[in-house]
Amino acid sequence: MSAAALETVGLGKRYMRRWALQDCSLRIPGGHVVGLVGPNGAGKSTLLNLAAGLLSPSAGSIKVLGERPARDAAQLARVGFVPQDAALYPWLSIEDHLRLGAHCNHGWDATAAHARLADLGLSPRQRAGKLSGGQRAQLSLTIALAKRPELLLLDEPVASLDPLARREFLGLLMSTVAGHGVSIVLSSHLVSDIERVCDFLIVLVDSRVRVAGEIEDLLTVHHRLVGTRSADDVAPVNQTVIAASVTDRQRLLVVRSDGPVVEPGWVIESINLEDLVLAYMGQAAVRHDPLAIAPMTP
Amino acid sequence: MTWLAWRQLRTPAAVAALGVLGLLIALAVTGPHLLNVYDTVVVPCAAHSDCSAVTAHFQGLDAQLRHLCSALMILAPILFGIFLGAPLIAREVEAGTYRLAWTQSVTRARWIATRLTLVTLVTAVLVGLLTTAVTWWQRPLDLVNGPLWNHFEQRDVVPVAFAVFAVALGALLGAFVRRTLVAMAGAIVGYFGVLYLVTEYVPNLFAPMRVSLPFRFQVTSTGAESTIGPPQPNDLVVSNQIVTGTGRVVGQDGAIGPNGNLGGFNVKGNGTAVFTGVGRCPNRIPVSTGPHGHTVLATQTALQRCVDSFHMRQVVTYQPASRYWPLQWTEAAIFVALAVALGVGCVWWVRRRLP
Repeated sequence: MSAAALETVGLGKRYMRRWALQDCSLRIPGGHVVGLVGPNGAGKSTLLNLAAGLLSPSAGSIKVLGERPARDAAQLARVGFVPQDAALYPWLSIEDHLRLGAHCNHGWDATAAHARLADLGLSPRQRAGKLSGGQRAQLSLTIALAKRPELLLLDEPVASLDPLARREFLGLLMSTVAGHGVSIVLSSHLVSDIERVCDFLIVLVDSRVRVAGEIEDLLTVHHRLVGTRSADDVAPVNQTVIAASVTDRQRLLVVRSDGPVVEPGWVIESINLEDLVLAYMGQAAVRHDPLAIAPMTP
Repeated sequence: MTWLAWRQLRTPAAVAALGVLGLLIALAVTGPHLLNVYDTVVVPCAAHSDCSAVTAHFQGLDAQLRHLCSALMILAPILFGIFLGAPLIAREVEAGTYRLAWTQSVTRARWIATRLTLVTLVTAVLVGLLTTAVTWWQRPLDLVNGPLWNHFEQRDVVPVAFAVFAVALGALLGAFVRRTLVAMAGAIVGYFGVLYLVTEYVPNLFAPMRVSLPFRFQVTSTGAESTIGPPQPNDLVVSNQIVTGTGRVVGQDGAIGPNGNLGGFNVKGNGTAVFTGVGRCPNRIPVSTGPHGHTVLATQTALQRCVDSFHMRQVVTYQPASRYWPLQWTEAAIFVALAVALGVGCVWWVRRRLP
């Protein structure tokens, strides 16, 4: 069996006293398009920077394609990284960035890189500092792809793009890597980005992993339970309540259950990805927001 | 990786090279004339008695260019440290571009090693050109101006080693503080601090030569001057002390009197000599009568005879001129070694501690 694209055991990263990522144990098999979702500051960037070898762990271990990240040139060659805000040299032209890639990577695919930029209609002479956010993201992706990586890490690649550019970027990303067997890990704070392209989900909240798995499986084992306000709590048999909310007329639960759910008095519905993600994010809020557990005062 | 390192260095290196080239041209244009004047006017004059006027005129030639050279030789190393060394790592961290550079198929260790090596080479070549040209151009003036040691830190190979050290210092500080401006400021302070400490220490690496002679002085209208200096004009004086018969130091640096450096003794033109704790010569010394002009000589002789009774000696320690080159290479080697240590520190810090 080939090594996992990304495998972490008890991984943690601390800045001074603050933990940006804690107790993260994950195994992502190869060949997936992984969506890493969570609110801003949840630790998504930290996890991706650890995977790219730009940060070193404060606790636990991380293996990317079976090796320690950035262990040597060969390991670096297997991973493509598109950093947040597309880090580029502002005074270098697009052409120079491609030369940079060609000189710093043995497996550089110059033909593909030039073709890709031609498709995007970017002039090679233009300085990177003069490009729009979308163009920068595209150039950054082009450099990462021309390395012909086995794993592509993208840190909020579309965060600074408008909705149309967002859709275009993700579309181009998917069409470029389709059929190449490249694993992708992509972070975003928007579920809609993830929903469009990913088949594997990781929800990261408050520096901790809340849930991780193939999206199809996750949607199968999670359910929405709708009951009246007076309905009894569900029995904690082979199921876990992820989130609970009360409206004027009814109670809503999101539960995880590996077997069939049989709860008299409750209507059982399937769940969509957005509700699933929000349930896990809300869970964190309930646990950590003191207002939510404090008694209500008029 | 070399391509990227060179592409990043190209522009500042070109600016520095242009500056050096401009100066080289100015020196090449004016240098032959200076040499000519030195050979045909200054040297023949020295064979005669008084050529202070000729010397003064020669020293005034190309004064502005000479001031520029002096300033450049002091500042060039730290300029390279500030503009090539300090931003080397700090700028990448500030701009976030390390995330691009360090995720190509090049390890961080190679990235920093390549960049440091290239920037060091460029610095060494440019400062090497600069110091070679300035040393050649200044040679006749230096010979007129006194011991070659006066410009020891601004001539020959030492400035190259200073520059290489300054670049490595700037780079390491940049890696530490991750701010280009702070690294620049730190490099200035650190560079001159280390320079001061090491250059004070280096002459002591070779045990200085020593001469010890009875204390002799020459009375002038403002005081008195020791007549004993280093054995040869081009020797570097490390210390020059006046000691009593029991070995107590009562004066330093050969200059005595009101314009001299240290108290403890005093010789005046009117014929007074007070060496605190040693002895005192009378205010009025019998003066031989005769035509005017003999008075001072008589005072001098009588005073010297009186002071001689204190059995004071003047002890001079010095580095002979023949040690100029051994000391140049030694000091250069020390700074290159420091630069290598700082460079290794850079590699380690970039690998283990950044970002």
